[in-house]
Amino acid sequence: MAMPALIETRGLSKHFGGIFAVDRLDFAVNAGELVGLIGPNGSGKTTTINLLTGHLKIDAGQVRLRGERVDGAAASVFAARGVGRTFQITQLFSRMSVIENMLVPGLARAHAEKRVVLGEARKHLEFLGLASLETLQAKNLSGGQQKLLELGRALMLKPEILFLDEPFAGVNPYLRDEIIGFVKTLHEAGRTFVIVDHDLDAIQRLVHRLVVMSRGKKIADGPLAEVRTNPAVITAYSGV
Amino acid sequence: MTGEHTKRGSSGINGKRALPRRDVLALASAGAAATLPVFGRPARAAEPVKLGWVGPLSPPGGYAEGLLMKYASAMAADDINKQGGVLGRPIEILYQDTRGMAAEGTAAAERLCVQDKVAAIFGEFHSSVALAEMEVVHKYNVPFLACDVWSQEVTAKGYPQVFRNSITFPLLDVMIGDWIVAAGFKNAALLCEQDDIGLAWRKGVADVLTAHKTPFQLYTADPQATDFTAQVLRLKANNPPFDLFLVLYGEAGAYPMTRESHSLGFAPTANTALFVSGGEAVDPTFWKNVGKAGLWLICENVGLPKSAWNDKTKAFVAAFNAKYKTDPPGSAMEAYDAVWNLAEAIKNSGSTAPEAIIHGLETLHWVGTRGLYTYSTSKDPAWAYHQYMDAPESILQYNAQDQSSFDAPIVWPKKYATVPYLYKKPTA
Amino acid sequence: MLDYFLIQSANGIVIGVIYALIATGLTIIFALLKIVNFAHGELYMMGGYFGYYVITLAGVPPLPAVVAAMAISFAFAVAIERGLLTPLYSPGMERKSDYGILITFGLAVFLRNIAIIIFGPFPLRPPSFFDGDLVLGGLIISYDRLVAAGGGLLILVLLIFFLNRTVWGQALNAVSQSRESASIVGINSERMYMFAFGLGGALAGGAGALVAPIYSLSPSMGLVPDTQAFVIVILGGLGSVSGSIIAGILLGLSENLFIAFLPDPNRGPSYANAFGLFIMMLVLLFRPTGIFGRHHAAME
Repeated sequence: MAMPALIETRGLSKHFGGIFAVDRLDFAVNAGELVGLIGPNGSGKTTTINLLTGHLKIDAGQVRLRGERVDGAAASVFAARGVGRTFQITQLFSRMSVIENMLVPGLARAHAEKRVVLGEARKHLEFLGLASLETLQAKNLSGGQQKLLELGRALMLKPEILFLDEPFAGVNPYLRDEIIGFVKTLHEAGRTFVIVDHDLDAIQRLVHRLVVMSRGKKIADGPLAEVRTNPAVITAYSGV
Repeated sequence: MTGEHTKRGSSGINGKRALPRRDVLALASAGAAATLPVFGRPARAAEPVKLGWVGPLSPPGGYAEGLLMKYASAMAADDINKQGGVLGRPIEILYQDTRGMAAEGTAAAERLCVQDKVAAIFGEFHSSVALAEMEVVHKYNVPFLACDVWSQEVTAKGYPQVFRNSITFPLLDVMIGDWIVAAGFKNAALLCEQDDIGLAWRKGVADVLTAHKTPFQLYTADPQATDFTAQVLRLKANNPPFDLFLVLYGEAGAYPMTRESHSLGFAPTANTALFVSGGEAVDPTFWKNVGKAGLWLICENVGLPKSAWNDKTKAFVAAFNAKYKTDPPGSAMEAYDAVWNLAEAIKNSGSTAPEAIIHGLETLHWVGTRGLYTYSTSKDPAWAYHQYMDAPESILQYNAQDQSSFDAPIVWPKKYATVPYLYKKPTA
Repeated sequence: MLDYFLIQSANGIVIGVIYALIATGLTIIFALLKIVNFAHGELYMMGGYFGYYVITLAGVPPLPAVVAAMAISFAFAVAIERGLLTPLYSPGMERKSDYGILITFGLAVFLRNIAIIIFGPFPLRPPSFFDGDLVLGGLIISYDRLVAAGGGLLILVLLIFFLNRTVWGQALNAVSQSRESASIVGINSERMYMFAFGLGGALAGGAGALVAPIYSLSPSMGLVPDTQAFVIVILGGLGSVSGSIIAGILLGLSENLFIAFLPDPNRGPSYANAFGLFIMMLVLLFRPTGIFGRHHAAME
């Protein structure tokens, strides 16, 4: 029997008033994948991530994590079960220092030992190039540094899957390349990624599989080369 | 036709018929019985005589005293009804919580006058609220018997509907002022609430002291305050030192003030006496709250002193104690007597019409728990109009901890005094 | 004169510590739930009564009774939060701050009036912690006041330790700064809201139990501390625990010294409460977000 997908949805729907932000979405991510989730503005990408990480309650359908239904669970439950995410607009504990931001998720784990957690946090900061900024208050970091810190904080959850919501938005090309490098390294080490972004160039350098949404529906899902030439995808992006 | 049919009184061809003598006697007896005042027989299910009670039952009003006054009023209604009610009708009291706020008083009085159409209103506790209620009763011509409101304005305004069965500041202040002078105090600190009532009270005492050239200083404090340490320290440091600390404070703050004053070694001490006016010192939880700070404390009592108790006072005190497990303060006695005053007025005038009740009160000559009730019709001074001029008041000084206010020695006026001294300095 | 100044200052600090205790509870509730708790003075009042009845009915000595009162106040506040405040967390609810104001205001009125019925209208006073007064030269201060100040300080110190050094404290801090972030790192925000309201209630209740032998208990005793607490929280900076502590002590001290030294001694005490509001106005003119205020309300 095949392993269940790491995370999957069936008939996932969410509406706001009369508008279906996500309309009967079937979507599965297997362990070890690096998936790009793209689509024009308003296609429902961020809403999908919010539904898959417990930030929004689903209206219909199912969400399964390793085969187990988790729809309706709180965001903190998803986090505790190894689902990490970052936000389009970075959400940090702005009054806390860099290292304190890193410690919060670590210490929130059951049976966490501060010494051990501190070591992990420093390791991640080292990896992300933020080690020298350990004592700085998060609000005093640059935009790019804040994005990296948010990623580092998500790593402290020891997540199996990470949803990155527009990690390349507003970053300079140098940092963009750095982020691509980090994601590749982490992916090679065994983590699964779903990345939402408008930067198609960066997406193409990273992902193997591309899922395209338009107006709440999935219109394409497959290897990069295939999806790129899909007429429905071209239509969606050209607005015709 | 036989005599048995005479009750129907059937008429003959002419429509008239002489009644047999038996029938006349029967009818006459029935008529006489109907005119008997109904005290002495249980009241039938006739339409009740509605009286309206106003007073504070919740903050920011003095809800503690208000509650006791309400209890006493209910007891009075029960007692009257057990004896047959008034004019063959039971008394029914409708209670309105005025919360110590003038606007609530106005609204309550309006409801009682217009919606409930009560025959009379009585009660209150806060002068400022009574002054508001007065305007309403004056407008609707409904008699109002004010209890435990001390501002002279209540009767000085001269509204024919308004009566008062409690003391008023002129009476109280003169008593306190005379006592201060007679007891030989040389320098008094007067502290009062920063509101109309506090200031009116203070003025009366100040006038007496000025007339007798007794030095004094005036202080005010927020009615909602509970911490007086800073103030007490300042008073203690005064030069020349005060030998009397006189406090009018109608709120729960009186207790911490007493404790602080004692704890800081200001009053009551051998150097400085403490007089707490306003009623807290005779309330049920006084000793629980002040402990040994209450020993040698002086206060006024607006009930009849124990030495002058009549049978009604004794019966009321015993019944109140049995039911509510506490001594009734003077204000409760006022409320109890007020219901009886109104019932008597109605009974004597034979009607619940406003003018009848007013006349009934003006001509009242009735002994209650606080003594003989009569209401003055003189307007000189203005506050004497419809005032119970003989409202009992006395000054007592506790000489034992946990002492009942009924048993504490009375030092003034001489007619009620139970001890030869006017003031006893605390012994160390 | 020095004696006079010292004793007035000592008393001011005592009152200030109690103010601080009440205000920190209020600021924690605001920092987490983002609502102003208009029933905070009533939680203070209820705490006082809990302490009283623990002593009189269960025979617990006065000092441990304060701890018991805090525990009961915590549970009571949690029950209120569960019963009345959970609609605040539903995404569909609009005008959450209006709801918070209305519901807590209504609760305050309810508690004040039900207290009259349950506890009776007359002031009650539990036994002293320690009878008598400490006399040091010209300084006289009752032992009850010393215990209240010492107990209050101890609670505040423990609170600061808790907030800064424990996982739960950090979690509270995290939720107050970013609800979203907290949830994605595995912190159950709703549980934190419940805990925060309980903690705020425990702090207010503890203050009530500490001052009961000094000021007596009455159903309306929460009215003035309520207003003082708002002044302090705004003075110190909304959501700032250290701000509330410092502002509370400063306010107690300055109010007392105001009464002590105002050139018009006859009117001093009448204006003590107004003085606090005046200070608040002045501070806000120069620092609109309070002494330690920030642009965002976050706990620190």
